[in-house]
Amino acid sequence: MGIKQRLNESKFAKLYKIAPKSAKAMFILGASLDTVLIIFVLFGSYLTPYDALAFSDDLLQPPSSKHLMGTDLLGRDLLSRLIVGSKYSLGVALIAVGVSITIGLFLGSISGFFGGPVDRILMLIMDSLYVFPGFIFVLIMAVVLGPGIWQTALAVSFGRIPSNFRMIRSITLSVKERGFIEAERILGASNMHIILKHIAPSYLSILFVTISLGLARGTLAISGLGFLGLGIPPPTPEWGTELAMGRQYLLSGAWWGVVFPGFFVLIAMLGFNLLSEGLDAILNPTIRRLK
Amino acid sequence: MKLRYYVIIRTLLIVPTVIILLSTVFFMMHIIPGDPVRVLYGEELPDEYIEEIRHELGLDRPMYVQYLDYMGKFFRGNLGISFRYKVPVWRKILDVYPVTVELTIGALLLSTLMGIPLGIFAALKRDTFFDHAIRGLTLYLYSNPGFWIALLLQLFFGLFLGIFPISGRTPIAVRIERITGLLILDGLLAGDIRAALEAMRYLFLPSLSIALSSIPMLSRITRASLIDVMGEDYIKTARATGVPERKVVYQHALRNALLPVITSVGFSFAWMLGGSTITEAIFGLPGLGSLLITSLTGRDFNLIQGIVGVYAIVVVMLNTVVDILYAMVDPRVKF
Repeated sequence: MGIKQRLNESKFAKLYKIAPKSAKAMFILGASLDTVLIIFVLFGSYLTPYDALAFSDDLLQPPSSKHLMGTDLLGRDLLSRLIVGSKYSLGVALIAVGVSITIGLFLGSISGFFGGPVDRILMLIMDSLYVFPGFIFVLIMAVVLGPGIWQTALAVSFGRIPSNFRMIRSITLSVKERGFIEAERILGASNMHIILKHIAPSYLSILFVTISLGLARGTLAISGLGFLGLGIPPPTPEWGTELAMGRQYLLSGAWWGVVFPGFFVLIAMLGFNLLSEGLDAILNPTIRRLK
Repeated sequence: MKLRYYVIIRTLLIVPTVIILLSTVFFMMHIIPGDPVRVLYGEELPDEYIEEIRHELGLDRPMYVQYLDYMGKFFRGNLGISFRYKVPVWRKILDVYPVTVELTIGALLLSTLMGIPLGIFAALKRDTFFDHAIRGLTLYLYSNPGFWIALLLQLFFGLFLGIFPISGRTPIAVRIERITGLLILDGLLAGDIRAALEAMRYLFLPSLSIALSSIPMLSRITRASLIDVMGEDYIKTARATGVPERKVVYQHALRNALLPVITSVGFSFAWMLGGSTITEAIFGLPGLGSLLITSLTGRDFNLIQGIVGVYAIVVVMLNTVVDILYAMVDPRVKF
């Protein structure tokens, strides 16, 4: 490969080349799982074999060639419901991640960049929230806001803010201390210029990792809320809500109503966890040795 | 800074942390539109009665008065009366907390017994097939939703194999006198080994389902930390002086490698408390987690705040103790 070509390669491509095999494998596997899921989110309702909301006479049928994942008590095709459900479980997780990262970016960069009493107060609050089990806050928030799609998204985003805040703050701090920032200051650069030009780009390397990890945790929290009946209410086929319904007829031997909805959550979490772990190993080659 | 000052400052910091957590929950719940009195007594009750009950419960006062009143009472040990059960909140909490204690201790034991050896093994077999396999396994476990695992365990061990009970704490026939509330301990204290074993059998599946999701973190930290320590000079020295490899690993390296693992226990514990809410609901265990869920849906403000307060104090104290212990044991820690 010529030098010119090499210079034109993106930073990611360069890092990808030197990444270890295991990191590449995780990245590719995670990315492919996520691609399938995103297709489900975007085009789910066109891909299903049956209408996800339509009743039929095949009540509580075990998996067969007609209904690959069986049917529920109202004769609805489970596979179709779960594919359509991606839009709710994952789509809502996406909104939640967007909200929590925006708030985390805003507060974290202010706190890290300006320091002083604002930083100390924000740190104290965020550290306090951080040690507490996040899911309990999500639970309280979900009850406070009531059931529904937007309410669930907001509740779940709340649980992610402290860890996003800490991450952004620590990156801001480490970049702020570097020599070239000092040089920029001496040259008379404004705070705004320094933040946008020098600090913001450093967020990019962890942003995708954070998003991916957030999606995994978000999906878990959303389906957990749905399972407890505090999330997105039926008849919306959210995965956790489906799982809760499946559980009602578990004792009569209908295992498929529990196994398949959970399997979708598992695949989603596996996809996002693999992606974030693979990305992390590729983008941060220096800390690889320690892991 | 001297260790003594560090200990004092960390201990004092417990108070603002708990205040922040309690305040967050207080304001979260009081900003909500839902009216707890309506939830408790139904929509049909005439407005004048509702107003009367609101007045009785003190809910008609300005929010800041309610807030100051609540915080003042909380730190004097008065958690108020449960709206729903009409008993003091602390009594309700004392009734159920042993269930959660038993569950989390069981989960903590199971996860350390499995997580740490897995991590050690992965570190010693670094970059081999076993290491990758363990990495895959932990990633898989980490990606499993806890409540799904719980249901699958119920399905497989309870319904399919029929070897473990799927709900409750003991069989109906077994009665254990309450001494501490921890059934296994009470059974042993009463000299009733069979009852204790029964209680253990009932506790196994719920504990396991929580443990499985915290094994990954423990095993990864153990692995990373052991690999780190194995590269230190004193390990080379030990090897050079002819200490057998087994001894190098288990006596010289592991002792230091486990330090960061211990600090992660505080974090695991918080994670387990979060997980215990759903797990308790699934296994029909009357603990703090399922009490929290019922009080949330019933808008029992005082009970919710009481439970969150207890969680907050426990989690914050545990983290503080772990940090202080770490600082005492590891002289390199800078405060």
